[in-house]
Amino acid sequence: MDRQHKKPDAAIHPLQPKKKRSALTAVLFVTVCTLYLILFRSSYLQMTAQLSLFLNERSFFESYLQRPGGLLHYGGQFFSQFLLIPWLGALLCALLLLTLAILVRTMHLFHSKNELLSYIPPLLLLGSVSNMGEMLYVNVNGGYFFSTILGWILVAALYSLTSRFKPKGIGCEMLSAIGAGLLLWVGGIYGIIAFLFLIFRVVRQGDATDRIYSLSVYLISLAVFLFAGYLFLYPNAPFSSLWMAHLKQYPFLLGKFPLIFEWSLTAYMALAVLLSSRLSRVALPHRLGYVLLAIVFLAVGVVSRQGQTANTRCRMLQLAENEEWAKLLSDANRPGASIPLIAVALAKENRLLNNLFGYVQPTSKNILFETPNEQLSIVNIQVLRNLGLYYYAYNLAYENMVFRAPSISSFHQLGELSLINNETELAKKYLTTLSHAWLWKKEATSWLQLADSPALLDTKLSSLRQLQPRNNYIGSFYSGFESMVIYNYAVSQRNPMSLQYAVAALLLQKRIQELPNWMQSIQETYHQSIPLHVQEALALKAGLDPAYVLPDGWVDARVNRELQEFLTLYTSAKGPEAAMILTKQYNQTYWYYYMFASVSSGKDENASYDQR
Amino acid sequence: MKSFMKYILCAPLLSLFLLTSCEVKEIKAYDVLKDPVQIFPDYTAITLPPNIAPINFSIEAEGEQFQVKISASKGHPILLKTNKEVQIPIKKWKALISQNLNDTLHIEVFVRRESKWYRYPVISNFIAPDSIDRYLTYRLIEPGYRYWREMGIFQRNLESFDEQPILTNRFSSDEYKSTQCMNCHSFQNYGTDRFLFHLRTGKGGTVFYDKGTYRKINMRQDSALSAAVYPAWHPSLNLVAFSTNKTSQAFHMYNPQKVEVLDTYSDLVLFDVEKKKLTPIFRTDSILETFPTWSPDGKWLYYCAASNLPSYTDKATHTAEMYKNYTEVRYHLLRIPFDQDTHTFGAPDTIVRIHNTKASLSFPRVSPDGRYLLFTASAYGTFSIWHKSSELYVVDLQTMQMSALKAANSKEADSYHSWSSNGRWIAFSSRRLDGQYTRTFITYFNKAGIASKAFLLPQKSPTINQTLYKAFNVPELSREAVKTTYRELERVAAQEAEPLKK
Repeated sequence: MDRQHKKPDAAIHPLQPKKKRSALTAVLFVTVCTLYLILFRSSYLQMTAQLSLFLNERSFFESYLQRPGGLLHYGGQFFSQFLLIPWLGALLCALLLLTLAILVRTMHLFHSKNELLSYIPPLLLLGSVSNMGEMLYVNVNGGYFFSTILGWILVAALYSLTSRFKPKGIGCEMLSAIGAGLLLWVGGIYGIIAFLFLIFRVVRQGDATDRIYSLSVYLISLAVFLFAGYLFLYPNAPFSSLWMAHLKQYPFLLGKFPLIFEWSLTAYMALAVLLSSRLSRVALPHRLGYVLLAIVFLAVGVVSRQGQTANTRCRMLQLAENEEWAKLLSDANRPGASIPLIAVALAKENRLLNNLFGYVQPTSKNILFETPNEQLSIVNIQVLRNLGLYYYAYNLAYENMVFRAPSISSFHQLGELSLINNETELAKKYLTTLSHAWLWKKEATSWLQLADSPALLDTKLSSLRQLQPRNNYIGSFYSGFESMVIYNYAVSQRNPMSLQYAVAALLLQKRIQELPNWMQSIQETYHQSIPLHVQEALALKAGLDPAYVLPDGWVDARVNRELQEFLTLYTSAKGPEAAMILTKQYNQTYWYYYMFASVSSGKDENASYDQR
Repeated sequence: MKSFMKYILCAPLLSLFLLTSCEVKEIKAYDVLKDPVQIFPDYTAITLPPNIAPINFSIEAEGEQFQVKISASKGHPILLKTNKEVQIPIKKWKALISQNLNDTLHIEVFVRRESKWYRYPVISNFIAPDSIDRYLTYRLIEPGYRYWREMGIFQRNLESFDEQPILTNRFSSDEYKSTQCMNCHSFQNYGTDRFLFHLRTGKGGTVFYDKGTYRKINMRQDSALSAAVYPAWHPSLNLVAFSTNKTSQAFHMYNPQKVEVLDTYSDLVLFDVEKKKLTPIFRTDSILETFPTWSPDGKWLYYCAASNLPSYTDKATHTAEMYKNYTEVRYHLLRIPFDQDTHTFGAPDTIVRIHNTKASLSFPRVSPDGRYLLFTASAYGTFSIWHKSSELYVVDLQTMQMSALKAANSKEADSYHSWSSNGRWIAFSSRRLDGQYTRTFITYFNKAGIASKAFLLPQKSPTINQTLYKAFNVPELSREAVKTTYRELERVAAQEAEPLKK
């Protein structure tokens, strides 16, 4: 009877104000994190998913088991695949961050009224994972987005769980040490962090004798787990990799801001553990908690611009893959916009030789292709693919896979490029692997079915194959792509982009002396409307070389007039200030580029033709 | 106590029941299908060594259930109730093939469809009387162009599926920093008392293992073109012949071979391991010498050579000219006598001229009995491992008759190869599965000098050939396992290399 009374009571009993506030904070936290990721990092999340790899295969799992910290890496790869659906990935991320906040709260580091302080670690983590910027492309640590969150969850869970052991004693410390040791194998550096936090807890608790025993337990356990791992579990791994796994010490790999956020998080947690006996006695005003949270959140969203520029870049890559050129050009003036992708979009709309400098600073390098490390640029793969240079695109995609570790993106690209290149068996290898990734199974399967029907495949790929060069050219693209695209025109005249790229490369290399040799091809393509930058270059050639007679109809009178005005200003304001004076009016002209940009010769020493 | 005894007595009966209920019953009633079953790898009409690991395969056919019977004239047949991936129990396999040397091994594949059993035509393979060397060493690396990340040299026991790393490049410990490359492992005379491999980049050098002692030597000499490259260990002396090569790489815009690698200059050198002394064998700009290999008696050094272009003062122009004429560069096969007492060489003698073959020759290897010279022939150049035209050939050194290993070759590149110590087996690299990822194939080479159809190196799970994104480079057979330990090699590899003696 009593039970019957109690049940409805409990059901209708309003939440305690504190619980209500906790629940509201949790909901608010999840909502804000999810919205932040969806609204500002949507493309970035999708690209992160494509640059990671999770396969539903036993051998894939076993390959992670063979290396220290592999299980955590595997977990990170597992969750990363869901970022392909941004709302799902964002929600998962927010929920995992909430889990961390709850676990930090149960570590009892702060006064019970200061639960908001337990939201600071997950917010710092959000700052780290959402602001990798350009470093997103360095995928040697694929799955980083989630593995780092999972690592901290495991540390907090271990600490929180072992704090509940009662009565305390050497047995409890041994169990805690075993937990930390296992975490060392599972998560590398997170195991070391766990050991450190447990040792800090010992330092601030108990009497001196207990402390010595407990510290001995932890130090012996650490040594045992390290050496057992080195000798038996990972017999081929270097010793340092046992504790260094997942340690992100290189700014060049992760970016400055993510590192600052993660280091801040480590320092925050370490201090909280060390000073918890004092912190747990101080109750901060609730508003101050919110202010602190707001500051950290602002730091996440505002201070770190890397993430925003990376998001733009990822969006442009996606638009290029989907061939949405107009949309891509509408993003062209955003910070982080990829200039080589803008050039592809312009060439697709047959505007490259009219607007080459319309979207970029004329002195900018890397206009047609990205450098440095151009051979590892994902953008360059897209550019080469659109130029119909599928063998080169394949080579670059392959180098990417080797250097950065295999990813969804690499299997997707290599499978498709192999199909275009008529290498069906090779394509099947990549696509079969891709079909073992849950979210890509459907697409890979449809490609595989197509691979088994040569006639259907020919129909689907004929328009792409028509863009291929007709003859071979052999050269080393490591010395620069510009020379290559000039040769490309000679061997792939069927491709409407090839002439634009060849002439653009000539202009960018300032080889205006050679331009008249190209005029027949230009006139055949453009008839009377010679592209603006070509006119500018021809006028400049005539201006600089009085012996050269400019044929009628090649350059408008207006262009000639503007060149005279430019040259007058240029000669009157020589020196460093000339660029400043001329920027406003002429930075979209070829003349400005010619006078102020520095270029390398870009000649390919190994270039030669091979008539197939 | 009584009930406890009851359980004890029941246990063997229960086990017996479980065992008999799991026993596969041979299918007696079935229809015979007309078309042969497709299996991967293609283990049909092949010749097998009597000591090879089970030839596990995948059935590429649809069905509700599968059953496989493996039998020969002697011994118990192996009956397997299986899914599409057939895993043959190793003990039963060994028992069966070891009893049937010089005999035929039959594989029958049964498939159940719509409650009815069918049998495909029987697959017949031959079991040779000659064993293959027990160990195969290879490098696993992505077949890339300029970059690598994780790679290593591994040794596989061919009688089982056991694969152990000799050394991987993870010793540099920092996965984020550029890791080292290693290549060109080489054993002396099919044994493992002496072996070597190169480490490139970073703390580079050549690691020598010599009967229990380790050495890491910097093989770069100011007067040489490069550090030592292709090695050939003298069969009895502590000497190694190396090539030194100035190599360049370029890429095809529209050619499925994708990459072209050529030597702009190359020479041969002899290295005395004891004395740490490097002496030139050839030092010429006009001839490109490469791929040294010794005759089994150690009295001859075989190698490949091609005429170089006239030397340009500007090296870049020389390279560019080489690329303009890259299809014209062809190597022929020569040998030079070696005095084992004085360590001096005589005059070169041409064995195979290119006008006879209209091809370029690489990787010469003399059979252990000294009768056959096995090599790779491709359309042009030195980088036959990437050339789709590459095929295996032999020259009978008694009759000087040359013939292709027709049954073993494929449409894709068939290139690097090594003999087994009894001269009856050849392990070689082939890209025939997909055109890119090299796999090890094995062929039987009979006393008449004819090779059989080659078969893919058996793996515990045959699908590894499709899922592994690494190539099997430089397959080298050896009679015994390496005597080094991983940790010891790791330590040596991390050391600074010793300089050469001048």
